[in-house]
Amino acid sequence: MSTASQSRTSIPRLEVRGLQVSYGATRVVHGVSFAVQAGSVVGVVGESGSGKTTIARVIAGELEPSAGAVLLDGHALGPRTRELRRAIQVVYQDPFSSLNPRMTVVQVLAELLRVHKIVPRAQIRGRCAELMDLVRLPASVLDAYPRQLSGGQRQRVAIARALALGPRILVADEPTSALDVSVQRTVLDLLADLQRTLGLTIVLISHDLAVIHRLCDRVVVMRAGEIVEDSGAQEFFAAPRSPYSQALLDAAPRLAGRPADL
Amino acid sequence: MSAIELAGLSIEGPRGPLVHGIDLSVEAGEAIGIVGESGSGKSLTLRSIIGLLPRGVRVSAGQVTTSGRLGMIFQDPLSALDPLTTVGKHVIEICRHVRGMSRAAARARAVELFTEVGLPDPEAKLRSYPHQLSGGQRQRVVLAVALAAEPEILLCDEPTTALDVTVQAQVLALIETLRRERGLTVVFVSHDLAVISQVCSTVAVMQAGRIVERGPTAEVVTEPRHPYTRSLIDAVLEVPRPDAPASDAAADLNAPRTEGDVR
Repeated sequence: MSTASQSRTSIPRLEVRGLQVSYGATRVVHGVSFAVQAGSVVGVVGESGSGKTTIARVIAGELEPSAGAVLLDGHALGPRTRELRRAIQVVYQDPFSSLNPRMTVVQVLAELLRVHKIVPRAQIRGRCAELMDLVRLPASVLDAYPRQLSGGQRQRVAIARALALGPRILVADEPTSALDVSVQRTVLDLLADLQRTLGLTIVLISHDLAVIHRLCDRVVVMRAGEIVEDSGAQEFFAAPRSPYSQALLDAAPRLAGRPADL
Repeated sequence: MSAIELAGLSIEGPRGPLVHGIDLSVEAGEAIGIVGESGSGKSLTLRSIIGLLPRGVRVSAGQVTTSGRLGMIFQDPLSALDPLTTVGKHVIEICRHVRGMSRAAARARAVELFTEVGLPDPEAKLRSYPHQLSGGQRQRVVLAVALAAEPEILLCDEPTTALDVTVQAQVLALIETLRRERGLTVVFVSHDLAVISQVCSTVAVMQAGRIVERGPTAEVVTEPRHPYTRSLIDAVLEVPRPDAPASDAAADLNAPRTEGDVR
């Protein structure tokens, strides 16, 4: 786990301020505010209907809030320019539906590197190989189509695609929920390593407290469109302040019979 | 006497063998978990017990013997229910046609079953359609439908994977209560050893179509003999237990909340 830079008084990397979101006449997010310091991982945890994915979509620019703002390094975000889309990258739950089935991995990555002019043309193939290395996939994966990859491999490709653009913030929306438990672990370990070595700033959306515990410095608990708790991860897991947080912790499935301090 | 006996069971798909001659016997009243990853053959093994193998997949060798009526619940309760039929009618039809009850008796039984699975306001719920219920309520309805046939064996195929954690905990507790009170034999398939350890006293670990380890859950979890079991245990991430529990946590769970997925 990385050390959060919460003591710093600098402008947060990302700030969500007074966010309200409605789908038609139904308001699903009721004035939500939280901040994410550069280099830290903030987990947004909640059950279905809590509004956590809605917030991820607003941060990603896929959805317009009815009130409130998202600030990146102190600047309120308006319509998404190419630079903003590059700065905020998203990894989704289902890597199969977020990858174009007709493009090989190298085609996906090369197109991004070319369109956003990340590296000179001659270096594109080399950069793609570096990205595979970064997410610990063999270079042979570059010439594969998504359907030829396992779920864990696809999610690594999705992470590589997000990192290709050198984002200022990575939004991970249930990045391991569609994977087997054993594969979940390896993808989470990869995200934790990348976070540490690259100093990534991550907003992690999850319903799974085990995932939050593995990665996050801070925990924001949402219920029915409101924040019910916003605590440091250590305080949250040692002594949650909200009864709802306590209920979530009580309900988390644990391996019965294994010592609790593992 | 065994409620379920699998002897040298092999299952084959269009592209070759999927399950390789497994033996498994389940005692009446026992709760056994089958844990494994996607492709391990755990769901096929479960489905072979009730004869619900997908098209093109068949038992190629061995025998499945069961003693007792079978019921099954699935991962996705929405696809197990007819969207154009009220949830009450799902249960009433089974009571009438499988149990041979009169219309009035079947209706009364449906209310009893809805009460037993913990659906709030069971009388009114009879008239609800599946889409009007939350995921947890739908899974309770699916349980009531399964129980309507008065099964002695309940087959569970990842029944809580699609549910929120607090709802998952409630449904797991409900399955345990039903097992104890009705003496049900439970076979519970999941990729999540932590979930299985909550419900099952015995666990069988499947890998690539074979059972690699089987034993009392507490022993398998603390002293796994097979390296694959070890790796499954290592994959389970721990959630710490808080030091000081807040007192009114349980009450708060029952407070009104927005249901339904807004993803």
